[in-house]
Amino acid sequence: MANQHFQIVIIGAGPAGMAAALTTTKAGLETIVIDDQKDSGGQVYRNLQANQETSPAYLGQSYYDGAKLAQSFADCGAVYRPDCTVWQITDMHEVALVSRGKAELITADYIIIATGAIERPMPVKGWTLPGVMSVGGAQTLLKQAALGADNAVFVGSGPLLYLTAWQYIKAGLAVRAVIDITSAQQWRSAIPFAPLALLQPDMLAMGRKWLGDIRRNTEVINHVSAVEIIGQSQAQTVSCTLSSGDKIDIDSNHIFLHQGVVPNVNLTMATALAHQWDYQAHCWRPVIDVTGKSSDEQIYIAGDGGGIGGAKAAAIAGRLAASAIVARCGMPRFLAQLYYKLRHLHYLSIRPFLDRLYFPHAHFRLAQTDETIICRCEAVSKADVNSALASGASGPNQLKAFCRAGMGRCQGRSCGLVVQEMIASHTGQSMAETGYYRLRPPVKPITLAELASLEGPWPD
Amino acid sequence: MARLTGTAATRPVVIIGAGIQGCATAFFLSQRGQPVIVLEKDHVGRHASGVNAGGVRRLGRDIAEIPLSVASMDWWNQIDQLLDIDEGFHRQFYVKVALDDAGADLASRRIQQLHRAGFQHETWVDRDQLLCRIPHLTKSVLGGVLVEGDGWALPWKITRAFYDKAAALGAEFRSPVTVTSIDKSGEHWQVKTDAGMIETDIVVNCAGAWGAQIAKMTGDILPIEAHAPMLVITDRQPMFLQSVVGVMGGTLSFKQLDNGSMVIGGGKRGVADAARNLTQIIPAGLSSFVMTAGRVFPHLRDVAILRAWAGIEGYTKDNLPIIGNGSQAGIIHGFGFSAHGFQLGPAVGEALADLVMARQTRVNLTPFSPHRFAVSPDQAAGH
Repeated sequence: MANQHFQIVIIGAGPAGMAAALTTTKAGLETIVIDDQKDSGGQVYRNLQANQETSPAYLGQSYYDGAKLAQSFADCGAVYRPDCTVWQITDMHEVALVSRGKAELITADYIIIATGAIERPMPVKGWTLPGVMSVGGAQTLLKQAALGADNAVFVGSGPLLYLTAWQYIKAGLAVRAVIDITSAQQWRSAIPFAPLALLQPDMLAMGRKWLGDIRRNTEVINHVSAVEIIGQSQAQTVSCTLSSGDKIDIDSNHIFLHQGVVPNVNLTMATALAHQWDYQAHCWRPVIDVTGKSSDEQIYIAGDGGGIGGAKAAAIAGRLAASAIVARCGMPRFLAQLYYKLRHLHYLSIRPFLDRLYFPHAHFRLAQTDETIICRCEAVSKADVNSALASGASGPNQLKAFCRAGMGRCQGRSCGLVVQEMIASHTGQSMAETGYYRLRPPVKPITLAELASLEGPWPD
Repeated sequence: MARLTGTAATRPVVIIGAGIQGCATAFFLSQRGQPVIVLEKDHVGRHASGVNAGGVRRLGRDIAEIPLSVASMDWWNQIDQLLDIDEGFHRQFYVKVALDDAGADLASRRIQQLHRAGFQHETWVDRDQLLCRIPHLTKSVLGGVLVEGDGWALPWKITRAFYDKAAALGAEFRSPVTVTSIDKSGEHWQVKTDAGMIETDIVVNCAGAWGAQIAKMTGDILPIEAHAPMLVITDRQPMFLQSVVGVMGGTLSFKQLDNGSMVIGGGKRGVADAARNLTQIIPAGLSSFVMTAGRVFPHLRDVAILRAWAGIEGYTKDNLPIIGNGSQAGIIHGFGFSAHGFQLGPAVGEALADLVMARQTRVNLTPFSPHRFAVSPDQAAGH
């Protein structure tokens, strides 16, 4: 089968991917948008079209703000392919994907990767108990299926945690408590960047509103320095230790954890693009230039996948990357690029403040007890990782061979940063020197029959 | 073990490369009391030795290679005691199934050819016997060529075990250390590295895909090409297979690990960038051998693939390894195993140790002589 070819392949239909498609299609470039969701919107505007029919107010204005972009995207003329798994980008710029059980290769002149963010792992004791999930997961259930649970406890910090707790309250669900792990020290280091953040008054006001509504409707526990989740076959109690040394136990069967999001680098790393360790945000990010161009001249990265900035910054980053590509296709877009770059910087002005305020604390980045599972897919505990380190594993890839951490279905999404930091503290090397798992296609699991379908139908 | 014959070097022998051949050589030399220093540019088992398919087979070998493979199997059968490990070798059988008449023809010709050469270890099993032994095989199988007692091992585990045992016996491993030149200085060799110079009487080149580069430093032009054979591993499934399965006339190696995951390889190559330690997966190649797996085990249709990878390996023109003395005294080569060196590792380690100590080797190494590629540096440069 001959490969399909498009001038522009955009991977991901969140704000960055959708906005990029508006620019490329307007310039007349043949564009395809490949999305692993059933509908455009990404995570932030997930299920927006369906929700607009009933428009539940609890999802908040910032969610419905995506409607205009989603509508423009639907009308823009880009080929939209939902429900696809992109599992590899080759160095020939073939995008390998699976759709409805069949594999395809689509070649491109330019590729825009807009695969967004994933939640940072938070391996507190008991995080693998049934009843515990990430805040992002809880929010997905709310947006996608209007599912929620009464008496939940939200543990952690960061805008997504407050937003979701706020949405829960507005949806009429009883929130048992919000356990906020933001420390006084973090406030102190963030405050000098507050004036810069004032360039984003809307966002600050929104955050204040969420926090105010949360405080009025549920118990908020501050100055928490340690958290454990206790239960036998199911989460039963969150036990938190305050910086004063006092302990508070709260009973709940639904515990939602969150300590920020990090760029989803699995596809960009598996594509062998250059990455760097971001000390301010404590995560990996692809090396990109001012327009989003990666270390591969033909591949751009837009949105949170290139560095966390939020939905509005992502949409502008999509516009910026797309304009740069349009310009390289012979249609100069100097003013547009300048305009988008300035707006992008404007949206990012709140990041230095947020990055410091919600910088993940070492206590919550690393597991505190030996039996805590680090790699969930292969059930590798903290003690297992430590014994691999003791027997000579000197880097993330050797560690895989020693104890199988990172070798399961999620390809390290839930253990990579934890394992990397354990190695770094064992060897005394920096996070950048320690490096990350060598990631391999398929970036997401595909079946044998799906892969074989490039060759033909599966034998009976 | 007492030293029997041959002379040992007084300076440590320098082995370049901590793959299975280098580690096994270090093990046998250390066992005999010979000091060794192993230089590794990355880390132990980083390339082909750590990430190959793990087949431990005499089945399907070039006739010239069979005696070495048989000798190696003696070591595999006692690998646990040899290296102080558990379940190092999953011994069962290895079968190449015939899926069509062409495959069956190949099988019968192969068996006749081996019989003429005096080897009886490969035998034909018919469809019913085979389905009895592997019930999940496709019902359209015609039979297969089988070797009892072949099987599989975890490559990284074995390479690491040779490393551990050699180190415990006194071998010194240095990594990451890159060799930059090898120069004759009077009667001995100076091995220069990015971490200092080592003087030695004997250099053993076990540098795998980088073996030709090392050989060139000693004046031997031994052309090999670096390739990256690809493999995939699947999600865990209920156990259904203890043996290893290949295909007559096709390229497939298929096994199920103890945890239920399946490792599927098939000789299809990705892109190897030996200079940068990088490999690239080619989707169409993966698809081709996964399809072959489907023809053998159609029930696996919906099993998920978790990962594909490729290791960098050195291939010779005739696909036989290069094992033997170089053109200058004190240089010994053992590389270019062309993606079937893992099983040979123990016997090659023993043979290289014998060459180091100027002993008679257990197996005739003539077919593997580096001199079969003899090209003078002038010729090589002259195109």
